[in-house]
Amino acid sequence: MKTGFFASLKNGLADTIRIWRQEYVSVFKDMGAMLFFFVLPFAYPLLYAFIYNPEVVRDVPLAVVDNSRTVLSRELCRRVDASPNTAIVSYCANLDEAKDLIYRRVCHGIMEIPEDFSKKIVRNEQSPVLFYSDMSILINYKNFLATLTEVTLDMGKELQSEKLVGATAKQIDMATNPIPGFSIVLYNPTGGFASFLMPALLIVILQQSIILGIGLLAGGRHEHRKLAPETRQENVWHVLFGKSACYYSLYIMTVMYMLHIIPWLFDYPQLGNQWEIYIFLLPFLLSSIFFGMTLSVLVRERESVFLVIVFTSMVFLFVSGVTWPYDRMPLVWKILGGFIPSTWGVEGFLRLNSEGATMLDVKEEFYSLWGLTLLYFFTAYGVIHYRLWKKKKALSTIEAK
Amino acid sequence: MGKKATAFGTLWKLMRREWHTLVSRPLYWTIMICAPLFCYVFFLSLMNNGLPEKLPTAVVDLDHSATSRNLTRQLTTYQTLDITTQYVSFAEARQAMQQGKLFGFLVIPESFEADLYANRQPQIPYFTTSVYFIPSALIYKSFTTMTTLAAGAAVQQTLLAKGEYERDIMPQIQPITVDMHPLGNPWTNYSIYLNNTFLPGILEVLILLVTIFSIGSEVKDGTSREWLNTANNNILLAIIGKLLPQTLIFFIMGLFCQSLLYGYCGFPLQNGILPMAAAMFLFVVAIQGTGVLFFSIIPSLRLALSAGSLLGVVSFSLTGFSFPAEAMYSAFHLLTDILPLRHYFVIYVDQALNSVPLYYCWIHYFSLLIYPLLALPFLPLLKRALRRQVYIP
Repeated sequence: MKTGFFASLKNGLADTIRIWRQEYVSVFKDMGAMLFFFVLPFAYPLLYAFIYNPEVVRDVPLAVVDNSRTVLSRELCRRVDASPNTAIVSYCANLDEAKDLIYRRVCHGIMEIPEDFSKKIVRNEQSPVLFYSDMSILINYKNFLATLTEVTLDMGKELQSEKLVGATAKQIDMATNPIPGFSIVLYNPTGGFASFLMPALLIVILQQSIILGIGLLAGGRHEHRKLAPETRQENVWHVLFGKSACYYSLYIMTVMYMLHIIPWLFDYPQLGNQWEIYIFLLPFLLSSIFFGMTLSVLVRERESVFLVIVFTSMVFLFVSGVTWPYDRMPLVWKILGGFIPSTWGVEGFLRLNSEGATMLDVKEEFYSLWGLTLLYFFTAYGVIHYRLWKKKKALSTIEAK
Repeated sequence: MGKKATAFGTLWKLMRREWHTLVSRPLYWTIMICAPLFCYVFFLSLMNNGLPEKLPTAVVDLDHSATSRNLTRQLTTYQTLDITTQYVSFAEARQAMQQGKLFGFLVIPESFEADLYANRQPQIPYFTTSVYFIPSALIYKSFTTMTTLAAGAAVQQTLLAKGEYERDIMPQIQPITVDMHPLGNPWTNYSIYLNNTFLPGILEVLILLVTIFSIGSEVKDGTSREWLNTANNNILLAIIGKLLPQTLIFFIMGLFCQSLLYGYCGFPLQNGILPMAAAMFLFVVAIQGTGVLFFSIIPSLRLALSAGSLLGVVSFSLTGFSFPAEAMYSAFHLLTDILPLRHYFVIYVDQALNSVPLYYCWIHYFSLLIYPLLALPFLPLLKRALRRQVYIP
């Protein structure tokens, strides 16, 4: 009895390894699969990294309509121009001229200084500066707002201190700034766009490359079966383990490249322990593989995988909560997001990699990923079981003929 | 006359043929109708509030004085913040941030009140995690406003005590104010900013892939010769007959998207719906043209689809509505102008958001018109591929 058990174990293992090897052959013989498994995760991170590599937006163009034309108004313009965030591209005679520049997309904002700008200050009244900002790109607006606030507050303090005649520098500072607030931006101190978006993007690209590759292979197999049904009977467990072992092993180098070398090359935040990240990635990869195997039931043709999967990348990126916080989503989308590996993958990777959290801090995400692995393992089992059952039925009809 | 009638008859036959294919394969109507609808509902409901509210934030109060409690109370009135005071040290709050429980926190130092009264300038540091862009920007703004106001209130108290008139105080604290006018989107509504370009972007991916897939499938299924024969061997007629039903469906989906944006959600639409509807029509045709171009140059279904996916997905980044095109490297900046989505984006900004006269953006309408024309000289290549009818897996 005992020998029988070991013999079946040995046979099973041998069969699993045979399927594993066979899957390698079908991957490496298939240019399409190679494209998804290797070229996509290699090229896309580089492409996106180069697009976003400038990280911050400098010198957003604006036009000035200076109706005051005083020393003070010119000083204001000089400081706005000197700020790293904004640059003055033109001094216009009137608002219509400035509007024309906006229409021509030469600038994205207009600063209008009213005629009585200096007079009001001398008269000891609050003096407003008008700003019209184009809202098509929020980063530009953010730059305008930050610069304007900073410059006017600074000038205000200087004007205020001029009135404190005979005070020492320390006294002026105390009077104008009794509670100095200061901001510390953690983890991504420059507020770089790439440092914020790329880590999340990397995880989504990783998952989509797995799903697309598996879908393509499954679609191809489905077509092939229609033409020439295979005669061999496979065991569900062996297929499941053999294939996932194949896909998993394909991604070992890719993960190192995408999640270590790319952030290192482009100087993204990398505070985490790399080994912890790899451990965290274990359930992420497994759940993505089984998720892909499950989704491949939708793919009947090699090429339809493009149509079914590509557009979901945007949905997966947003549902992960990298832009819109996950906790603030409508419940339906939170539930949907909970079933997508990248949701937990992005969250966990951001915290491990960008915020330097420990495994203990991301245990919720880690367990969730294992939960998804288990769930999609069984759905993948169901899918493969169904396929093998259909194959068997097809075979029996052929034999009956 | 007779020849004209046959041309129309052929076109009609081709369109009926295509209509049959579209209806009989669930893949087509899922991707052409269900997928866009799902994305519309998803993105519009996700950002329904305009900006995320009640973001988890903390005040670490080390002072426990009347003033510090007053500050905390004032922070709780901000709509963007959801303040907790459960963390008693910086280390604890930072740990909570790494566990994903907080997006930012503010520390009121020990003996804050005493230092304030003694004019020792107590500092208020505040921390945000800019790993998450939007929450950190919103929290930063709220905290900055709060600390500036607190400092202002302190100065106000001092000046009042010195016997200044109340009306003279604000001009002293803040002599220059900024009167900000965010044109078209005064609420800084994120949904207006994003969905106006993002939803057409998704439509672009779907149109591009469906166009390439439907032409490539003819080759793959071995029906391309029959298709050409139906079109009397006229490749232009064949393509128009095949794509016209799709144009119709996608145009309706695009119009539906615009009706959701400008009708149901009430997003700004300054110059009326006509310029936008025209842009949508040209946009759909432009992408179909791009699809035809791709398959004519690369008559392998898989490679053409790969190229289509690349263009579709990269459009979201290269269009420059999140990260401005002017800030990209010049090589990428040049590339932005060859994307159909870029032209649609500029038309939307001009016509719907900023009410710019049509004169200034005719070039973008014109650019959208170029894409289908661009495919024309490559049609003989496509014809050859369709005649050869060889499927490369």
